[in-house]
Amino acid sequence: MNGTTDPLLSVDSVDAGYGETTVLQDLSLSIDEGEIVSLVGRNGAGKTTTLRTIMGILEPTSGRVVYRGDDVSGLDATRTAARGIALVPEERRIFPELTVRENLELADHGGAPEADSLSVAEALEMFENLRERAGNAGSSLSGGEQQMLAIARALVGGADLVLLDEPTEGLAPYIVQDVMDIVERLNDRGITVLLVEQNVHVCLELADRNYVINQGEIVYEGTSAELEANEEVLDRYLGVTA
Amino acid sequence: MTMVEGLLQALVDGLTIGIVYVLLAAGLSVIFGVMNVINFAHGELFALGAYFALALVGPFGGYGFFAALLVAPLLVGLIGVGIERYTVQPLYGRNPLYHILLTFGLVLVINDLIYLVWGPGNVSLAVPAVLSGTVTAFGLNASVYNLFIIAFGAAMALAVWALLEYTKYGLIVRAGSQDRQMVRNLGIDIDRYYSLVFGVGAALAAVAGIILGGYQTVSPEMGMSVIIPAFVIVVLGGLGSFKGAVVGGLAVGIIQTLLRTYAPILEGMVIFLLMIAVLLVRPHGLFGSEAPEGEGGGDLLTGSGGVLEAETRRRLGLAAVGLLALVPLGAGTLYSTYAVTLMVEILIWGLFALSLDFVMGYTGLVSLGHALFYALGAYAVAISLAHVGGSAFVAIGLAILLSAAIAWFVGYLSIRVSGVYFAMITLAFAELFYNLLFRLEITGGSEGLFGLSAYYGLAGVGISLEEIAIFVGPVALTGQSLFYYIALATLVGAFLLTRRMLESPFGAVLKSIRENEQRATFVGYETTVYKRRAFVISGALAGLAGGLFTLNAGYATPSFAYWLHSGEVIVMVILGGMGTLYGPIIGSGVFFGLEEVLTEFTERWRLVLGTVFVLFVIFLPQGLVSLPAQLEPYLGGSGPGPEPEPEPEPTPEDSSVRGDD
Repeated sequence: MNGTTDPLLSVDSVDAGYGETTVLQDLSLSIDEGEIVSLVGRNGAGKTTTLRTIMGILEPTSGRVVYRGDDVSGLDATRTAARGIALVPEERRIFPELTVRENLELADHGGAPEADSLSVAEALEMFENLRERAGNAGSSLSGGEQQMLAIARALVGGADLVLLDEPTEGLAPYIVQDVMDIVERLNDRGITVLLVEQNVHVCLELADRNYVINQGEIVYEGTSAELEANEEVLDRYLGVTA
Repeated sequence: MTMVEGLLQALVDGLTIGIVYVLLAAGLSVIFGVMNVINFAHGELFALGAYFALALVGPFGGYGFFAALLVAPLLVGLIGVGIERYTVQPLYGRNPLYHILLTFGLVLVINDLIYLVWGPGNVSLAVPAVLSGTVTAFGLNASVYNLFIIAFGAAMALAVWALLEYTKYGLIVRAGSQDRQMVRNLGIDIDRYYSLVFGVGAALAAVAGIILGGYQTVSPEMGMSVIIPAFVIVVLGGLGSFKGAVVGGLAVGIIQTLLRTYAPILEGMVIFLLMIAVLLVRPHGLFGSEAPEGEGGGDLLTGSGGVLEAETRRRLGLAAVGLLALVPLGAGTLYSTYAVTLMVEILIWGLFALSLDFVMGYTGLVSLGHALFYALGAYAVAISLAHVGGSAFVAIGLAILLSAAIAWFVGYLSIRVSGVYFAMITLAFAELFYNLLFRLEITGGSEGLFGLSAYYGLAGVGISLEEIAIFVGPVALTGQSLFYYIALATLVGAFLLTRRMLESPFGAVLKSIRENEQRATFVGYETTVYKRRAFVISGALAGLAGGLFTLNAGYATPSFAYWLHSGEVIVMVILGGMGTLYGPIIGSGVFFGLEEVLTEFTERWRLVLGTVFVLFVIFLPQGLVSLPAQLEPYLGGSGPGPEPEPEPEPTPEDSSVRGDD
């Protein structure tokens, strides 16, 4: 969309949901390689469902998900992950009884062919506070540390595209800043990020482009500058009064 | 000094058994942790290991034992892989309770196969000369074989631990037992590892079977006798925890042996008391994690009611009862009087199955110890007839009261734990009672109570069924035939009563608990209270069933409380169709019908029953009552169901299954 090359990921007119309930309706979005794109919306708008559908945990009932030119909509999470998409879920889902190092080692299994993935040692180098706690159980980490570990895990796994689900949720403001720095650093390494957030300010600061989602549909697309200036969208869909 | 020596001796013996338990429980626990599968067939794999070894040692003798120790576990491991791939795999994503049912079916199948191939009775597994004899150290005589078991078993356990702790394979297995979906999200195909885990667990069980076989003897019952303690250990230690299996296994082995020496009366019971106590304090066992039971929490597949209209179903039901009422009239002329005996049993077990369905199918509480209440009812009647007086009414009243009271107590203690833990704790209570029955004087010990008769009346005024004869045309109804009507009326009454309850607001709450307990709580219902009430009603009905049996048959034996009985009644519920109330009654009919037909051909009829049951769990989990709905697309909506049912005299209930739509 922004260039002549094909996007890294495109979601084309996807419908998806749980059982009888359709959550996503005719949802389309696309991300170019190297971008940070946000998907922002209120609770229950379908943000997490979008990520689960891209990941292959949910199968779309219609439409398709295309990654690097291949239709990946029929693939399960194991295979999408093997192609270089990593999900950092909202609850982080650290393995509580494995140590920090084991959590990382688990992810280290070759990864996607094109990625210059991090080794476990490099990851521990990059995330200072994880290094100090390498031998501790995952369950002993604070919320911020768990978030770091979840992101580090995605890097060790050799992800090209990281799906970040509400990374700043429930974190203290100064840790939110740390997480944002980490996302920037990921992006500097050439990793593409799809960021799901309720916190518009995080999106506006990090993202190149933003999609606003409401009731399972994309209702707005624009750069951060454009979104910031669009009071109507901010007010109507995101509850932000300028 | 001798006191100390005795203690040490008991410790060595306890450690020997404990190590065997560790090997058994480790496999069980890891299989549960990774796949959420409660593998009841683990005990049979254990027995298979011993029998394979026996077959291998036979031709080679002596040192063949070591070869057997290598080859037999490999074979059993392969069987484990096969079981996982072809029977367990189709069930992933369903409620873990279906695995209990499936592997229970496999127990029946494998156990009967063992009987078929190797026959009944104990055989000893020859141990090579190197391992026999004794050594003396510190004034203590230890048999070499004991020391071998301890050393070899410990080495195996250590190897498994190292495998789990230090290899990538182990890391994946451990991670998988904590969060399977996240492992998949990391690009690891965890499903590929399942067969391997199951195979390794089976091989470990086989090793345990072989070394214990050399220590004691090899018999077809060895699997049955070891599986329950193994489960207690796993639950005690925490499902999915290797550490828990080790600590639990050693502790149970040592405690059991010490008690055998110093307090034999407690031996059979203490592990169950221990497990109940631990679960009450730590609902996830000693080392179990608080993690939820994974994503395996699929729904229980309950009956949808089939394709029939409510009115048609009512008419069919009435017709079925009407036909059933005719059964005694033909006894002795059209068919032998044995038909009535068989039908009485079907009706009583139908009531028993209905009582289980009330909690299992409508509340989602899978009680693995329902035989407890049946046995309570039976013994209450027996004791009342023997000691209180011969009144059938008093006896039955006592049976209902006692089983309801115990159900309240068991429910009070166990309903706070959920899912698999609930199943296990109810099993523990039943086993506790089973052991108690052997030991108490008032219950007649292992013989039970027999030769009982009752009169129908109160305070000494009444009449026995043999003294009544009602003439219907040329047929005189007396004794058992009259009792048949009592059983039929009770069953119909219980059916109408429970159905009424389920249609009331109380029933709506129960169903909402089954669907989603958390939401029921959010709406403001105190779900524990409702579950406990349902459990009491169910227990009382089960007690009534047991009471009726003893009233008619005049005896009660400890086997009534045996866990296989609890398993059989679950089989009936699933066979017929859970969550329908009438399905389990049909299930009872089919169960006894199958038994009747098959025992004519083979004593090992459970082999066929188990196979049928396994197929049901996999392909028709909603039971026979769902058959018309399943077949409807193929039948084009007309004509009677083509399923030929192997039954001696088709029970009229089946008309509601096969009936035209």
